[in-house]
Formats: sequence, C-alpha cells, structure tokens
Amino acid sequence: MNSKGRRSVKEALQAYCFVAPFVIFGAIFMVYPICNQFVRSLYNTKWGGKTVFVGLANYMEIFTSPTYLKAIGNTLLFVVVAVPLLILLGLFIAGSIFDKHPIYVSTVRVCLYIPTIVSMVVMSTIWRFMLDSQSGLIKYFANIFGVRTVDLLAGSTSARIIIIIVLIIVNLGQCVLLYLAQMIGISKDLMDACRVDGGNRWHLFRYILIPLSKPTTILVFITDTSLVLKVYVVIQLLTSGGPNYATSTMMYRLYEDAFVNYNIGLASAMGVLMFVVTLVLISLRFITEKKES
Amino acid sequence: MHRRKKRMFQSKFDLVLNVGVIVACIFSVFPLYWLFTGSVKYSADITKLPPDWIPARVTLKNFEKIFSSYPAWRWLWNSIFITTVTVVCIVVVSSMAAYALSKLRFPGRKLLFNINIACLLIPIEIYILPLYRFVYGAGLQGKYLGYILPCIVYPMGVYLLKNFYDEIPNEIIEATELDGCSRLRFFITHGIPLSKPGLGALAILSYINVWNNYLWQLLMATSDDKSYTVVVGLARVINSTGAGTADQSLFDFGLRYATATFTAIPMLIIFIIFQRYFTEGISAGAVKG
Repeated sequence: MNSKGRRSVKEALQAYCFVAPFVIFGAIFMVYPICNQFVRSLYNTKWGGKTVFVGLANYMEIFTSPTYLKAIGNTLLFVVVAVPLLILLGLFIAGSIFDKHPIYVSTVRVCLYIPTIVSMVVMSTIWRFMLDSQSGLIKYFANIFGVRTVDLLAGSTSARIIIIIVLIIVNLGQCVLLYLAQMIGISKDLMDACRVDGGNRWHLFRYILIPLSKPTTILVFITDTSLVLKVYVVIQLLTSGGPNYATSTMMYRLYEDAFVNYNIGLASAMGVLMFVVTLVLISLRFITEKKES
Repeated sequence: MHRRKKRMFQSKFDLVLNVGVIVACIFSVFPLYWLFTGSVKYSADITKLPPDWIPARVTLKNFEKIFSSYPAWRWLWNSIFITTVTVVCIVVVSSMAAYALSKLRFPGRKLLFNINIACLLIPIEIYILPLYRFVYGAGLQGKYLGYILPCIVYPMGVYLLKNFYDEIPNEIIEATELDGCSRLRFFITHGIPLSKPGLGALAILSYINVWNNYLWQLLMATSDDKSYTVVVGLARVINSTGAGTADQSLFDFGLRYATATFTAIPMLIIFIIFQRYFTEGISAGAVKG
C-alpha cells in the first residue's frame, strides 16, 4: 500500500472515532426506540400483561374510533390554522421592523422570544391563570362587556381558538428571528430600486420580501408543522384535551394511551403514524433543498 | 437624500403593521408581567376586581411558602445539574462528529450527514414511549443518568457546528499537518478555539431546550418529589388536585404564581446574559438550512 492510501485509511479510522460517540448514542436512544415502536405497534401489550400479535388491528382501531379520528382531525386543524398564521405573522412582523432602528428591532425580538425562553409549561400556566373563569383576568374583561364571567376553555370552539393562540405565541419568536436574519441579508440596492420606483411598504413586501424569503418560509413551514404536531404541554395544562375531546391531538392521545391507559400497542401505532407524517416533512425538506442547489 | 431615506417605506400601511407588532409584543410579554406582579401579591389581591395592575401591597410570603412546602431548591439543583451535564455532553459529542463530517474524508460521510439532517425533524415526543420503556427497563427512572443519556443526541448541534467548521479553510489544517500536528491535536488546539462562537451558540440553544424538555423530565420523575426538576415541580404544584400537602395550595393563588415565577426566572437570567450568542446561534443554524 502506498503512503497516500495508508493516509486515507488512517484518516477514515480517525473520522470513525470522532463520530463514534454520536452514532452510538443515536443508535441506542433514537434509532432503536423508533424501530422498536414499529414492532410494538403490531402487538397488543398492556403494562406487565400478556403480549399478543394482532397485526394491523391497532391501526384499524385508530382509523375507525371516533375519538382517534377526532384527535387526528384536531391535529390537522391546528396545523392548518396555526402554521400559516405563524408564517404570515412572522413574515409581516419581521418585514415591518427589519429596516428600523436597531434598538427597536432587538426590543421586539426579545419581547417575542421571551415566551419560548420561559418554556411552554410556564406560558401555558399563566394563560390558564388568566383565563380561569372564577379567578382570572378574563372576568375583568367579561365585566367590561357586561357579562359576569366567561369560560373560554369550556366551549369547544373557543378552547380550540385559545390553544391556537397560545401555540402561536410560544412559537412566534423563533419564526420572526428566522425571517429577520434572512431579511437583514437582502441587498440594499434592491430596496433602493424599489424606493426610486416610488414603491411603498406593500410593494416592498409584494416584490422583494415575500419572494426572497421563500427559502425561510419553507423552513418555517417544515419546522413549525413539526412543532405543532408534537405539542403536548399546552394542551395538557390548558384543557386536558377537553371539552369532550375538542382539543385532543394525536400527541395527546399517544401520551394518554401510553401513560394513563397503559395501552402500549395503540400508543405505538399512533407514534408510528406521527413518525410517518414526520417522514413526509423530512422528504419535503430534502426535495426543496435539492431544487435550490 | 437623508430626509427621503428616513421616509422610506413609511406609510399608513407601515404604521398599521408596526402597531400590530407592538400588540404582538404586548401579548407575549404582558402574561409574564402579570405573573411576576402576581407572585408578590397577597392571594386575595390577585383575584381582586378591578385588578391591581401595579401591586398595591407587596409580600415575599409566597416565595417563603414554596421553600417551606416543597423541596424547591432541590428541584432547581436537579434542573441545573441535569441541564449542565447534558449540555456539556452535547457540545463534546456534537463537536467531534461535526468536525469529522466537515474536515475528514471517510466512507459514509454523506450518508451520515443526511441522516443527521433527517433527524433534525424527529422530536423525542414521537418515540417517547419505546424510549421510556427502554430507560425504565434499564432501571434509570428517577436517576440523573435517565434524565441525561437520552438527551445527548442533538442533531441540531452537529448541523450547527458543521456549518462553523466548514468556514475554517482547509489550508490551515494542511499547514499544521506539515508541522507534524496530529488531527486530534489540531482539533483540540485549533478546531475548538476557532469554532468558539458556534460552541457558545450551541451551548445556549441546547441549554434552553434541555431545561424546558418537560415531557421527558415528567416521565423520569418518580413519586418522590425530590427527583423533580423545576418544570415538573411547577406542573405538579399547578395540577395538584388532592393528595397531601397539595390540597391546601389548591386555591392558594399566590403560591401558584410564585412557583411559576420561580420556574421562569433562571432561564430569563441565562437569556439576558447570553442574548448575543443566542440570536446568532438560531440565525446561523437556520439561514443555511
């Protein structure tokens, strides 16, 4: 073997040592559980009970039972409403502040990012405090409108709206941050050209910011869909999936089945379904990346 | 010219948008203001109508009560210890892998990088049940190792750091190689210092994610409340609807507000100190994606 070949073998061996810890941890704590879940979803297992092979029965149950269909529908609803709203808000907020005074920009950025920092647990908790029909601030605002009090978390439509609002608030900061980073990089010449042509801010959005931010929009779409898909805490703390399953999602059902009802087969099947949705998002990401390059 | 520049894109539309921005900021920040002021009010004042927008009487009684009724300092210590150790492991493991992916040639490099990108979108929530069964089976529930080990794989970290290492020119490595510097030594003496901003960004980003990883911490907590972290402790205090000491706190609003404040403050402090790294990190990791 010549010295060059020996060097590249040595380089490869060194490289494997460098990636080994990451690969090993990944295999044990990520790949193995995901594979294990596929197998589990074909069995009917109860904690400490017998394990029976049932084939696709768990999936059949998910697709026929009204509660599960409702959970899938709600997940879809939250994604379809919250994600476009996040994109629109992120785009317009970033677009209307990015060329302003730096102090204003960073103040807005910090304000919007704070909910993410203090965690969903804290944010959901405060919103629940404020919306509590007996003791919360909501009572004060209801009084202004001449109503004694109002329980927004008790009606199915209003509960869904509240969940969506809280979801948006806890995720908006990151979205704005991504758009800001993108927009600050847009060349000044383009904007000068727009101004010379007598363009106003709407034209700026229409012809420069929105088209040029497309890669960020795709990224935000993919990451936020995955964020909304996996959300659990907000729902548990605000509504516990109620009223009458109006706000229960796939993730909420998964948790309930796994750790409250101890139905491992069903929870695994739900996990596999969510994994499939994630795979779709992943391939979307690869496709768009390929197109760009 | 200057005047025209100042008026650039200023119109009614712009004004309306910026009013919207300020409303969004209020929606994000007001709840926290309400929480913080609520935590120093007497319980009776919290539910008063019309509300005290600025606390009329201030008390620290609520905070004293947290520490006398719950092992809250222990929760805080658990959170700090678990998060710090996890983040150190994340930074070490990710920087090694990222360095190899960026600077070394080996069969499977491209594949590994693509798998890592795919894993960016797979949240722990999706495989939380089999993961829990595995960790529970290994007898790690309620132990620090159980909290830490599953969180060390952080694909975002590898992705972010690879971008930073890609910026280091290969010539530097080749030059030092001629001087007889081994790769491991190069990684320690040059790679790590050169990627310092990246490591800082990753550390702060993962610190917040690990600290706030409520679902996993909830599963790892046992019935012994000494094994809680602050976020789990908060949820337990809020959700306590019966058993034991929790009973009296059911309508103790001051205590609940104070516990939530106690949970929020450590992260806020960290955010304020490391803000610069933080925005850099998120932008750096995302723009290229």
